[in-house]
Amino acid sequence: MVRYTIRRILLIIPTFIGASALIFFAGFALPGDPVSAFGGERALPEATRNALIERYRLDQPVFDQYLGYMGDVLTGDFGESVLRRRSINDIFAETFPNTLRLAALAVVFELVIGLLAGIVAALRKGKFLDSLVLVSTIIAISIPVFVLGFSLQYIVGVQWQILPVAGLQEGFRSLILPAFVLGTLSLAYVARLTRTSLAETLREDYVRTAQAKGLRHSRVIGRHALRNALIPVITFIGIDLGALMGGAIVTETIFNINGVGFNLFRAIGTRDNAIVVGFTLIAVMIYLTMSLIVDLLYAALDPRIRYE
Amino acid sequence: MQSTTRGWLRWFAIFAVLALVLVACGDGGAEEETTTTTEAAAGETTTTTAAAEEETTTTTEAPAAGGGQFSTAISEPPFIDPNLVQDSEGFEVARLMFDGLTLYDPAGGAVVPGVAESWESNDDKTVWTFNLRDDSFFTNGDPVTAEAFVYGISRTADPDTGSRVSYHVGPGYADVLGFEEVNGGEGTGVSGDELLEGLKAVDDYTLEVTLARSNALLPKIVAHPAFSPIPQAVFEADPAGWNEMPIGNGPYKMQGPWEHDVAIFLDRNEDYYGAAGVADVIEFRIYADLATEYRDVQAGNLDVGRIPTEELANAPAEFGDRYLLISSGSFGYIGLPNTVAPYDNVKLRQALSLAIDREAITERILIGTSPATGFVPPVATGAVMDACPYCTYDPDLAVQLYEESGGVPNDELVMRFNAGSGHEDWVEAVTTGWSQVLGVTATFEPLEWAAYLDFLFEVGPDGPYRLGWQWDYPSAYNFLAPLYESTSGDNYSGYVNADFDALMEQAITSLSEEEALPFLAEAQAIIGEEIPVIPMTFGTERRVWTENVSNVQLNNFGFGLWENVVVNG
Amino acid sequence: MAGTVSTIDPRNVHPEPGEPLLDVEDVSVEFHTDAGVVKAVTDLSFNLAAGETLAIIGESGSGKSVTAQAIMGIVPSPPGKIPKGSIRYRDRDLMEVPDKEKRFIRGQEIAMIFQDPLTSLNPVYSVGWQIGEMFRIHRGASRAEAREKAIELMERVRIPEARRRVGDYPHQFSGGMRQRVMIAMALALEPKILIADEPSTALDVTVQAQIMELLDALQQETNMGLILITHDLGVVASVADVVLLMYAGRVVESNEAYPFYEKPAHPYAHGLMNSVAKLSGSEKRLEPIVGSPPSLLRVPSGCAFHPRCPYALDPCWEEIPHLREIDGYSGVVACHFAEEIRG
Repeated sequence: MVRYTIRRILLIIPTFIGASALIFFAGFALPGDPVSAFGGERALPEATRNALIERYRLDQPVFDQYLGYMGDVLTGDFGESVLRRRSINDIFAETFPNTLRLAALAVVFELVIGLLAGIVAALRKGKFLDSLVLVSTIIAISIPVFVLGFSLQYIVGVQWQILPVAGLQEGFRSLILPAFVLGTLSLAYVARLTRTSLAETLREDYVRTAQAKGLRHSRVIGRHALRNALIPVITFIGIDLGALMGGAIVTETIFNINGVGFNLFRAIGTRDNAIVVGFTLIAVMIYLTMSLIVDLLYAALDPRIRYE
Repeated sequence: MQSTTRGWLRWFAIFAVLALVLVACGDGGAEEETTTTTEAAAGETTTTTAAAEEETTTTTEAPAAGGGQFSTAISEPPFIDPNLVQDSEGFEVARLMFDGLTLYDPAGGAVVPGVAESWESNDDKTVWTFNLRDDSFFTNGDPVTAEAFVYGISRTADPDTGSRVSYHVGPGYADVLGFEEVNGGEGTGVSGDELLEGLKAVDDYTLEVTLARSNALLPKIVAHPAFSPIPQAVFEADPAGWNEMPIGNGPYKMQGPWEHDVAIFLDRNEDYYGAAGVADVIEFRIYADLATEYRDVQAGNLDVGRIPTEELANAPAEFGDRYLLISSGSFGYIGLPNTVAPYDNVKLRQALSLAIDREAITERILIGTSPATGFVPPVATGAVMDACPYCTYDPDLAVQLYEESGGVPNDELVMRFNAGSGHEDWVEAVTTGWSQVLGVTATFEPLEWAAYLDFLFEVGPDGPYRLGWQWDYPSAYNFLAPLYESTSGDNYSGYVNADFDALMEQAITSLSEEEALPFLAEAQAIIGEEIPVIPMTFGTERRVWTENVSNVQLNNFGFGLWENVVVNG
Repeated sequence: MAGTVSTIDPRNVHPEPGEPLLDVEDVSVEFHTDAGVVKAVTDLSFNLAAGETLAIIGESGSGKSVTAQAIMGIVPSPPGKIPKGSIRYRDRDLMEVPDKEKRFIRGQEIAMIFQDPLTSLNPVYSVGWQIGEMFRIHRGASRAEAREKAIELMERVRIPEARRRVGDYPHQFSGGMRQRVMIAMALALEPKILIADEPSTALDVTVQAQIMELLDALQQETNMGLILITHDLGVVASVADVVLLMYAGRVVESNEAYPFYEKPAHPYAHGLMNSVAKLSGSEKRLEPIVGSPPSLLRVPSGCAFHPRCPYALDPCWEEIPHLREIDGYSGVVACHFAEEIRG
């Protein structure tokens, strides 16, 4: 296990280098440069332009820029936005807590509603509740996020006025709607995954064994069936959390939440390469870390998986 | 593997609790932050707290007497440092925090005294003297002196500042003597360490500005925040923190540092020399999405907001007298390469312009703009109404002129524009119109922003393209000289007309703006006939607000006069 | 828990040999599927006494495993249904007792082991945990007590190094050891009846013998009634007291083991005997039974065995034969021509 963990961590390094090169070169291979993007529809005076180009090392060959950038990244410095003159680290430090809170609450929704719906559906397979879960998850999966977001904002925020429409001014209350919207898609997947997984598990021989042992129905389901059925679900949620922590572009923008995705979205729109590259890199790191954790968690949850 | 025998429920619980803790922690953090801000603000305004409290008390007793707090919306600006403000968002905030030599008259296109009580110039308008009042102070207590203006204006011009609005100080605008030496120089790596030769503090309260070229419009030009006074000591103490919380001399000051992408809170500056702002606190809440902003006004969470395109039609009915529409100083046009055949043919340019149904396009697609009837929006001083005789929709005349011009090669033309900025629909309508009316094959090609800039500035356009112009100061001159004067860097169409250039020269060297008006009118007549670009739209600005506020006004720039907004009791 | 069902046997002592334990009478089990009603078991009756070993023999699909499930009360429902019959354990009708008591009887009074010990053990819990669960749930034992009991049981079913391996997971054991774990779990609470559903089928021949020996030895110790369910005549020959031969959901022959093995009455039994290599090593050629077992959705008319029966005559596909005694044979058989065939 220890060796596996070390190997797995070492494996992150080449993955990270590959991903960073891809992101960097893709970001900087686009026509034009950040300084022109900063100038807007009016060309910048030459001297101002040159001063900025020098300041952001844009006069160096792309590969040197990459090496320089990665050198900075290794020291924990993800660069500075040309358009905003702000350190990427500062922007990220400001936005990540919001994204994290949003992601965490979204996962809570996934866990509570998704799991419950999935379990009920599996136990009532073929009955009304099962059909209800199937139909509503299909709807949840097919509604575009922004449609759901706008609708909830209008109904819950404007019509009923029971939750804030946008922003984070009201703390936890502000998070409920966006977290729900953010979690909806995964919530539906979790419900379906739980349903399928649990229904399959219920047919397993060991569940029959548990029944034959004279265990209470709740214990047969909870201790014996769910414990196995939830392994893929937990894995999914872990990976999902990793993805959500990378920022939720649409949800954060619609709900005006100053998170990672919110900034990433605007940076893409304004060609703010430094933010796009820096944020994407950090998101990749978070994702890689989360998948490592999920892998290790998987081993802890399923003793059949041996990493030796 | 004893752990698994402890039960999966525990894992599950740990996971869920962890998630909830994260949510809760973040929450606590935010609350703390808010508290700190309030405390800091309270500490800062110790001397004025009593007064403010008194006033608040009065307000509750007699509504509409002032005080209170309201919120309005902006998008996150890159800068609120007045030397760098480059968008309307930053401008809105900087304008309340910094008073320049002159101020825009909220009623019209004129300027009124700001820190400068009076000004005069020599006969050829190359040397201007501004007499400053001695009771304007930065909110840290430092007096606003002529030196602060020398420093601030020079800093805008310094290439190390990296300001996108440095051109305001340079040729075609103020053209302060020595601009080229500083702005065109190598730079030293330090912002604000090179002073412009043309700026001189005669004494603490007398500023002498020497220009490289005569300029009758200087008092108007210097009302822009790029010419703001800067407290050098404050900036130099923490250059990196300056843009987070600039210290100014305007009617409002920052309550605490800029909360990026969240809000900027302004407190009324109780030591302001001029008419005090009405509200105690103005919150500029930052939005990324207009639809969200509008919903927040509908829900009553935001006091003043803008309107997304899809709500433009419903907003007047929904908000009634809490809706405001004004014409603004923006001009949308289709550029043509005047020096490239066949676009060097004036009849072809006229034909293309006549084949566009602006009424239909602004009514159905570019909702929120009005069809351009000239080259200068009516709100700018010196605008000539209907200066563009070829801006009507006249298919017959269009065809006739197209035939006479000889047309475009193979009857094919391509219009370029920047992709993803909402231009697709109207550009398609224009090219479809050309195809149908003129019998040509007109197509369009969206380009990515960077590629589009390259196409405009480096390659040079070979066919129609879209651009817009946002005024820098409220004069027709600002819509004419930059776009059509042969020497201007913003004249992308390459239009050259010696008579036009001469008129511009006469206008700028006039004794006053008033005396320049005939030259400006004549210049508009020339381009009205020659159509160097095809005018498309004049912009408008709109706001809606809740019942919590009243007296919401926008000036000609389309900026809110937030200092006048009354918070209802 | 024991208090609420005190009539069963609060002292949980071993029953006396010959004491009647189980009385199955006229039980049918149906499964209602989309394709139709599957009659898995029809009109099944038998008795089991303490110390007795009953072998239920049949091919797959003959209804023998469903019989076991019916006794355990774990017929999956839906789609399973028991429309008629009674299953009595001592003085209790298992189809009538409340759930709580049913759970008590399961595991504590009647236990079961399954064919595939790998899939029948929960992969994510250690074997010690799974064995110990019996004590924790039914006896309220602490974790530590349960673990000690598990080690004790593992030693009893002769799993080497039980103390070291108590925390291992099912996949870390060999097939035979896994089945021993199953047996340990089933025998944890010293049930009066053990149902072993194909306990050795998935195992090597040598291991099969070991498992059967183990079951036999354990039965000697505890006097439990043993129901052995198998398709393999050879496996049970040495241990069974009574044999129940099933075909297409019905019992077709029932007798004590010795006379049955000596000379069975039903042609199906003949077929089975001929398809098995006898340890006595006669030179007879092995003859498989022609055809395959019928689908329980479409059971052949009359005697379900008639399509495969070399002796079948007209009445066989018209009339269902009932179990009856025949001259010169101690058991009962359901065949129209049993006398003639045995003749």
